[in-house]
Amino acid sequence: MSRYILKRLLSAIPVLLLVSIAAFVLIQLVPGDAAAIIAGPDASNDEVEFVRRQLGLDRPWPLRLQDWIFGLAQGDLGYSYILNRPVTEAILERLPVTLSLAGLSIIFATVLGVALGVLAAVFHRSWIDALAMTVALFGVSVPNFWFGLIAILIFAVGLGWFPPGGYVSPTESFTGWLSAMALPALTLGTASMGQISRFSRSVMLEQLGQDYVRTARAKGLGQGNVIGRHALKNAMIPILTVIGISFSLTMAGAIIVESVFSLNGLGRLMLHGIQRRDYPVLQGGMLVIAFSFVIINLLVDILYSWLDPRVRYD
Amino acid sequence: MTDLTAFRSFSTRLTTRMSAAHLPLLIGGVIFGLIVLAAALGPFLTPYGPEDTSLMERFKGPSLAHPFGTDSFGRDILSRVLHGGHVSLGIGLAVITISAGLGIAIGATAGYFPRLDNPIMRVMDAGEAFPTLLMAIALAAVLGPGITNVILALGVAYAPRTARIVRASILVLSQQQFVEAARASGAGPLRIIGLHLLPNAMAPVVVQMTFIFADAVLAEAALSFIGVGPPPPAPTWGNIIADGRTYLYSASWITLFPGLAIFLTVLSLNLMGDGLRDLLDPRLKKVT
Repeated sequence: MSRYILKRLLSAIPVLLLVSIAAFVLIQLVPGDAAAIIAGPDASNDEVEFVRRQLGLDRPWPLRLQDWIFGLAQGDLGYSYILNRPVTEAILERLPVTLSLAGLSIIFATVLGVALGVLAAVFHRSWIDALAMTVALFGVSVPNFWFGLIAILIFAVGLGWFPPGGYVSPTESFTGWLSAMALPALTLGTASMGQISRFSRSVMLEQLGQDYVRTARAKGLGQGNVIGRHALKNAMIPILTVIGISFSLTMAGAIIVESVFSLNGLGRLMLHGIQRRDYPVLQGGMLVIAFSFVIINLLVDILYSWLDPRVRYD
Repeated sequence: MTDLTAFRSFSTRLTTRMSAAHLPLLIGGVIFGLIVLAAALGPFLTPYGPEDTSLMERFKGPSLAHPFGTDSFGRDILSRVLHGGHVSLGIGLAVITISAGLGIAIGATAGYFPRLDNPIMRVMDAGEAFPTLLMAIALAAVLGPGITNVILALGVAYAPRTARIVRASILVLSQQQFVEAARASGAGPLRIIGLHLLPNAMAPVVVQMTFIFADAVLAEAALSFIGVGPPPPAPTWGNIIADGRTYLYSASWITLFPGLAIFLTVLSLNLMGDGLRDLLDPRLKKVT
């Protein structure tokens, strides 16, 4: 097991390196003079030159890439001249909001998605199947920012069940946090819920047609045991992959949903970065999300090998 | 008599199976066809231009004169939604053309030339580590707002997905006898890929294109909503929703109708994708 984990950890290193290079290359794509853009339209020539020197833009790109990679290895994501503080510091301050939003939305998406998928597969070609898949299709088709606005209109303004926006720290008030995050998590998790339930249905259908399920039924096991302890357990392995992918999608979707619900998370920081052309912040935020994707995939792989030991010997 | 009964039961079974596979395709196709028609005929369906303002008609709710109501400048929302369809569907079409072109070229190269496979796919891995929407947002932010940049950003962001599918098909097909025969008859790699492999690998690509079209419509709307899409006053669906957000509580129709248009378009494309997948390549059912 530890050898497998080590192998997977080592294989993640080249991907992380490529991701870092990709984030570096992206900023090189800025058309025109990046230093002038970052310094702002009112900056004098001296100020532009100062920014150019500080960002190392006057040096050849291989040296800048080297600095960027070495900086990253030490947790340094660069400096934001607009915020006037290190990017790592700004991101770390906002990350808990985004992580709690993404975490809650994934819990919602997984619980509802798997439940709908299993129900649809068990009651294949019945009205329950049709209803579950209609909900799933709604999830993958509805634009989340619009769904969020409509949810605010109905549940916050109309019914007054939840606040229309803003963040409450769970250390301050757990119920306040849950209430503030309910609508954003629902909005952000709807697409993942749709994907997870569509996928769970097809995997469950495949498992329910297997011989071991027939054997379990022939032994006289009840429907609950056959589904929960046999079929679902085997189906969970591929479903985990989709959950892993969904997590990174929710991190990216947070950029939009945080803006709808006025949540000061990483997404809103990046959005402000885009609006104010604060490229170091955009670059740092992108890297954090991409890294989280690689790490989540790594965890999913490790969880795989724990659930199904055959994976380790593949 | 028995033969007739057996034939009837066979034909009923066949019709049921056919309609089960074709129903989503049919429903999706009809809805999508209507949306395309409405977007194409937009200027003839309403008497107002998408950017015609009228201060006397500000914030009018849905009525016979303005079925979708008007916005803060008195612009007719129906005209704007119809014109927005023109822009959004055009962007979607351009995005699938670019992502298919790039994805097929990259995927076929990786699948056919084993030496290039690993380096190309590792680069694709890195590309896919950035969620598509994030990649598109970053590219659009860096390149600047504008329709061309949104198309480029989304086209590039969706290319790895197509490349992976093409590569997988080419890897399997390369082992087939007909490819062996083509090689033995002296055909070069370009001829084998273009004439023998790609035509046989297109079914999953066509299915994927439909889903990418749906995703691209959603992503373009999201980009417009956060201000990195085509700049206002271009009436894209995302821009209209962003405009209406300020008046969400007092004039919710500005937000409601363009959102419904996006939802129906994406829903119809997803239904078509599901139907096409069941029809052309049922093995893909699990992947999407």
